[in-house]
Amino acid sequence: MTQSETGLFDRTEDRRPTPTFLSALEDVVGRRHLIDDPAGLVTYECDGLTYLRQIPGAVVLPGTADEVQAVVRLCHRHGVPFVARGHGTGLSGGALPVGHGIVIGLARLDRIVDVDVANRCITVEPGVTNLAVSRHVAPFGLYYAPDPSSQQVCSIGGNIAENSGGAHCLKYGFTVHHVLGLELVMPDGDLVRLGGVVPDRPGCDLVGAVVGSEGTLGVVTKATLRLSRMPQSVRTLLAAFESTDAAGAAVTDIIGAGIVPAAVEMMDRLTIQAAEAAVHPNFPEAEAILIVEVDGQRTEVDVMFDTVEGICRRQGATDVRVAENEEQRLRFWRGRKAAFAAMGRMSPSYYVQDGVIPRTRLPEVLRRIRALEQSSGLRIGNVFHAGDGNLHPLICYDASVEGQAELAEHVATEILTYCLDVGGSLTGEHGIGADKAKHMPRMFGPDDLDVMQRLRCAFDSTGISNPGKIFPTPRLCGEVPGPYREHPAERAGLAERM
Amino acid sequence: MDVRMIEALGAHVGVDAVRLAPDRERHPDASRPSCIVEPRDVEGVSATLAWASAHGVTVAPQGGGTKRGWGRPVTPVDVTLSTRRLSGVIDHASADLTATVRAGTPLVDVNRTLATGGQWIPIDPLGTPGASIGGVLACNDSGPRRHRYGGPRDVLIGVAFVTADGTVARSGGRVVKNVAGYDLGRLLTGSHGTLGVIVEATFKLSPLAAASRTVEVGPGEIGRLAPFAQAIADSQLVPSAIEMAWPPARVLVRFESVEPAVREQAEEVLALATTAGLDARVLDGTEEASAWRAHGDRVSPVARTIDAPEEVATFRLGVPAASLGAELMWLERALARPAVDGAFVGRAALGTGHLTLGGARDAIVGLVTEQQRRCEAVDGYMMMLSGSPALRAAVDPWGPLGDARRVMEAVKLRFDPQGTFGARPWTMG
Repeated sequence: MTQSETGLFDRTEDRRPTPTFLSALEDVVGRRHLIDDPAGLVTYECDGLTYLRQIPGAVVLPGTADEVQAVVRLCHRHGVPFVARGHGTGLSGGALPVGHGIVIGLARLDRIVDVDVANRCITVEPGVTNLAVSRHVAPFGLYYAPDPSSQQVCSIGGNIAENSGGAHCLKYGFTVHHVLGLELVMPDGDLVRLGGVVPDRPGCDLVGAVVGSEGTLGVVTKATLRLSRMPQSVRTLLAAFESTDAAGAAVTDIIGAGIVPAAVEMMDRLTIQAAEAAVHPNFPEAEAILIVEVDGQRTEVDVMFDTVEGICRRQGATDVRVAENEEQRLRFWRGRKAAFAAMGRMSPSYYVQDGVIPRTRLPEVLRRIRALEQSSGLRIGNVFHAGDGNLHPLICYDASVEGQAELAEHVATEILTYCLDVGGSLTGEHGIGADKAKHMPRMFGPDDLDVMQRLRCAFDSTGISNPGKIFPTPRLCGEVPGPYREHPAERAGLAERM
Repeated sequence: MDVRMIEALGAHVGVDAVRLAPDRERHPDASRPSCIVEPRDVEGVSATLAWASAHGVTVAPQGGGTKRGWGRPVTPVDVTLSTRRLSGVIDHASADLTATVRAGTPLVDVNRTLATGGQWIPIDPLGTPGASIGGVLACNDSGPRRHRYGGPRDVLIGVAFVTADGTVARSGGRVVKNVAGYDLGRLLTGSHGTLGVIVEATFKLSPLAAASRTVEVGPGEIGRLAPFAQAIADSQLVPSAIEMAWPPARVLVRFESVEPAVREQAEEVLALATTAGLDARVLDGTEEASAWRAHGDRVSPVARTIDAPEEVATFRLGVPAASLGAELMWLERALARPAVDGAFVGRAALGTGHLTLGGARDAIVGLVTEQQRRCEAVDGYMMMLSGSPALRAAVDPWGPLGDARRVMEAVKLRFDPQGTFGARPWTMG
């Protein structure tokens, strides 16, 4: 499926990178770090969402913030669109190239710039992987809280672009809750520092606006991240239930008891089977399992944990397993985190959807998904961040069977409808990207999208920073409003303003 | 604005919504605000702003009116747009831990309503009991519990607002996890009414804790209490607040959780204080409530616009948390002169809080200028919350903003090109 088939606006007036432009890029990053041969470019044609592919005009791999800035300045001067790319693990096509534009790969900006233990923060370049941050500060008893399942390979820059979450975001929030400051190359090539170590700087939360903006407001070249103290105690249990409804009711009771677990994950029968077959976590056979993790101060954890265990049993859990040690706890999580990849063993292909619903509406949404399974004939496994309502249906299909890929996409779109019907969201973690831009008008009105794009125009008046993402129809930014500026032709006496 | 324009506005939005502004409700630094508009609903807000934009009239949004002097207020102001009648909790989905409220509702009223369901919006600003939801968001205000729960930006999950030309727009939603589109709620939080009027907000709630204990440490020397507060912050204890107050220097450490956990943690802090040679006592019940009330009373947010022989000014100060002790010690030395008195109340592990200064104006100008320079040197900030017009003219009310200033101006030009909410609010002079 190509970019034009997804119905995205095609900027035919974009200029293709010319030999002059490519030569200028080479002057900035060096021959070794400019890719313009067909074989090399194919590597960058897609991210983790492999059904959307587009060969870029060129790829550059800058090694410093200065080089990033110089590249963006060139793009701005020549009107060439650019797409920033971290490690290419995104699941919404956020790093999908623009045909006549370039990809700016940030993988070489992988330095840890500064660790400030006293103020509990760390400054890193965007190419550093998520888990590398936690590993680096572990000796100080600190860690970086956002933990997407891809944390071993995904980049901080990508996390910032998508406002990535992870299993622990019910209690600890998402990336935006942990970014204190940014160094950003604006789409016109200006380098700005936003935010900083001290929270609540006077003025708008510009850092908060950039986090989650999916690369449309410029390129992040440094990030100052907030670190958290490792909790004194972590306790995890796994509970098996005879139905997803019973598991969901247990979560409702846990919230009702005034407990905010660090994580509450739900898996259904199909995903449990897949995970068991793939990594053998020794999961029970059940219609649904909950993995509940409670962390914090020792006594508080013990009291809350006992309450959670009691609630699970009262809701009819057929099997409750408490992790007795770290190894067992990690085994529970290995099983959960393997769920996506494990589906690949159960089925020739699978489509991961990402949607959000109010947690309490899970029973009715799951019932509709089960009905959809019946009517489509495609099996659908469900992994659910039960605490915050983020649903990941995994739709199994066989691409070699005529029409199944399209059917899977149709099923995925149907599920988004169910999410919106109950007042949910199009995406909890993966972002809108190229994949869901066409659905934005189903969640937001035309005025909502228009006002959002005013923000985009403030940062990127020429529309070269990751165009075609998030919004189905770009808003023309028009003249920069403000004080009257004399046009060069007027100054030269060649024209008059009527 | 003349009488005919006021009548025209009344005809447009409903005469019951428009009234002349008496002197006591005049905006600080305003020339002659002519009237106050109190729309009954969002449509009324939209109609007012559309009319104002079309007639080149300046508008200042207002909730509880508790923070009108913060930063650099808009001048001149033709119309004060009050959200007072946009009031009430629209929805409390307690099983989902969310609530949607109208922006003109006082925060304390919202939390009183939510408390019946055992939940709250965990924002606790000091010294502004009448503050509205919209005002708290617009000025990004917070209090002691910011230590544990984050600020308003961190708990806001959806917002509806009206732009200068009357467009009503929404971002976010009603679910706690959502990355669809831009988070305009974050942009608006801290925008001080320069980008739009917030009319509705949805929050992620927290459960109310079963029990509470506070350890009061001190009074003592800043040089010993500041490191003690840092050590508590670095430990694996989980306080809901670590407050530093001065003078005299005192630290309040609060625990809110199940009874055994708060008792145990409070006793641990007591033991640590004793080992460090510091006075300390554990408070609960009415004693605890009194201590926190007294703590809140130390903050003086009331804006004064009348020239007085003695200047009183308040600021929001921010420095890296590990430097807060050193900064307060510098202030202590700087304030040893008889000309100026000062007091600080803030979050020890965040390095942020309220600074109040009172005394001779010249001395305050000198002190503030120096303190702003010091804050800038450590990548901090110092923003004026209240002070006389003369003081505002002498120092930059926003303090050092860095690159953010020009980016905010660019955003402002896109959202409010005509300056309906005031032109170039982020620049000095």
